[in-house]
Amino acid sequence: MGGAGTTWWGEFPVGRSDVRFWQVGPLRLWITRSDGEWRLAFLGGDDSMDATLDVNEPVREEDVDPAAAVVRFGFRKPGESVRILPALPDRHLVVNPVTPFYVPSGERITLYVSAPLWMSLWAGDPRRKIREIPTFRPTDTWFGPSTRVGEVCYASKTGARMELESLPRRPHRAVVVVTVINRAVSQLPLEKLKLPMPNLSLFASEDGRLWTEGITLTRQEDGEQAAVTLDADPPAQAGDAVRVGDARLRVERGHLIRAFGHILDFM
Amino acid sequence: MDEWLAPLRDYATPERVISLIRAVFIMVAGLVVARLLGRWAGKLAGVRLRAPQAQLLRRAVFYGITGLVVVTALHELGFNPGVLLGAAGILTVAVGFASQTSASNLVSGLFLIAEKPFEIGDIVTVTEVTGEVLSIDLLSVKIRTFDNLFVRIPNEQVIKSTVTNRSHFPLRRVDIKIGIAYKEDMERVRGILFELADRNVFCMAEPKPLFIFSGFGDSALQFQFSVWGETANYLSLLNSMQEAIKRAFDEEGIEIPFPHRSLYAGSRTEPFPVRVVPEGAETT
Repeated sequence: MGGAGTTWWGEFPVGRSDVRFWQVGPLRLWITRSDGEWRLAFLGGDDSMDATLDVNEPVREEDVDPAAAVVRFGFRKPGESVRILPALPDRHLVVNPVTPFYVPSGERITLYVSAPLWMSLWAGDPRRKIREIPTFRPTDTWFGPSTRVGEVCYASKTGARMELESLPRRPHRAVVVVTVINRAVSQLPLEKLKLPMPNLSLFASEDGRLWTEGITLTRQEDGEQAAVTLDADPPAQAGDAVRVGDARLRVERGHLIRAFGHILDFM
Repeated sequence: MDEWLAPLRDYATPERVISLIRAVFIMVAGLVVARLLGRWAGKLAGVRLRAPQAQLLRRAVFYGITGLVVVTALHELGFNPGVLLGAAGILTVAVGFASQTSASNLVSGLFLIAEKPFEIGDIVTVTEVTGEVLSIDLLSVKIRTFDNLFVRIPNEQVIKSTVTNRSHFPLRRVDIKIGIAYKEDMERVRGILFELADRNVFCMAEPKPLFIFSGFGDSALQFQFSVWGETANYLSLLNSMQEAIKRAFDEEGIEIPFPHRSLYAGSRTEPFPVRVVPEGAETT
């Protein structure tokens, strides 16, 4: 069981015919190396609140859950270690506050929400990505004005917490600090919040927690226009965090700073 | 032998031979040009137009130039194109009457290409045939069914009948019709269903699932539970939801009743004889 500060990402040597076990939140993963191949067995769980962390535990072949999905990767030179990196979801994440949440006119608030992570596995010589496995597969959702126009995103419910301490620590989730500024005269109902996960990078703080860049959502004076901006660095709450994962998609400057026709598109 | 060849020798004057060579040259060069121009037009149109329209343009250019080349070559051989075109007009009427069906399919094909009810690769249902569209041609639409049959549907039939495009929109709704016993608590069942939808990764959180109480059936409370998913995940969603519902109902002891039938033998007939057999007794 990993204590505070234990990280599940990095470079992990695996001996020939050894079986190593990881559990990151609800995901259980067994990694085996043999002559010319790497074998992964993985099994996801339903409980997104599961905060178990087991890293690189030696286990026996019989301990692999028979229900796990098994995949094999053949290499000329398989190497002697596996690299595991955390990654953010490959689609946008739409978060819904569990209870209705409003931002009054002229307010500026900071919310702490969490996003599920993917495990990115690299092996072989030279290193190549062999698989990405979600530690928790969020359900699909649709974000758009109608069933004809929009995009498929992942859905997540959030407590929309105002204090970092009240956000449960879970190894399989990254903290996203969202600042909402309401410059309009009417109050802003936060019904849905679309977070651009493929455009965010990952940072690890000293205590082993993962963070993304901060996001600022600004509702303009006219109430119809909204802008999304990404901070350049991890939030101050992350302390001296180091970058552990790049964004899947590079954002051209100004790409995300755009106005939407309707406030509902933004929320 | 020489006598037989004499008329040919008289006809094949040097001028006529040169005309013939010229005509052959015009035909060959013209066909090459027609092919090249057709291909070029198709490629150019491919950038802006969809595949069937680009193909149509390529063919129109090719056959148009080929027609001109043939007329020029015949003119070179001394035939009068005016007479030929007149004859062609009469021939067209005759052929038109004879090939009404093909002409109708051809016109339907043009409408189909312009209307775009589906594209190559879409999953469609036309005249009770469901499958993937392989090609949209001038005369027919070719479809591959899910059991891997090649089906050719004449364009006229496609234009006349109802066409359902199953992959036009990115989302689809799965409607699951369920009946539960009258003794069951509707609210509890509703809660279980929404919980299942919430846990299913293929089931969209938005648009929200829909619960419709459709009525009091003969032997069950009838309702419909509708969930949304990506069109590509339609089958996965349908199977996983129905399996999960069956499993959850079994675990929670919720009864899905079979139709109840009462047998009535009528007042004038004798009651059915019923024999009570003790447990474990042998029956014959």
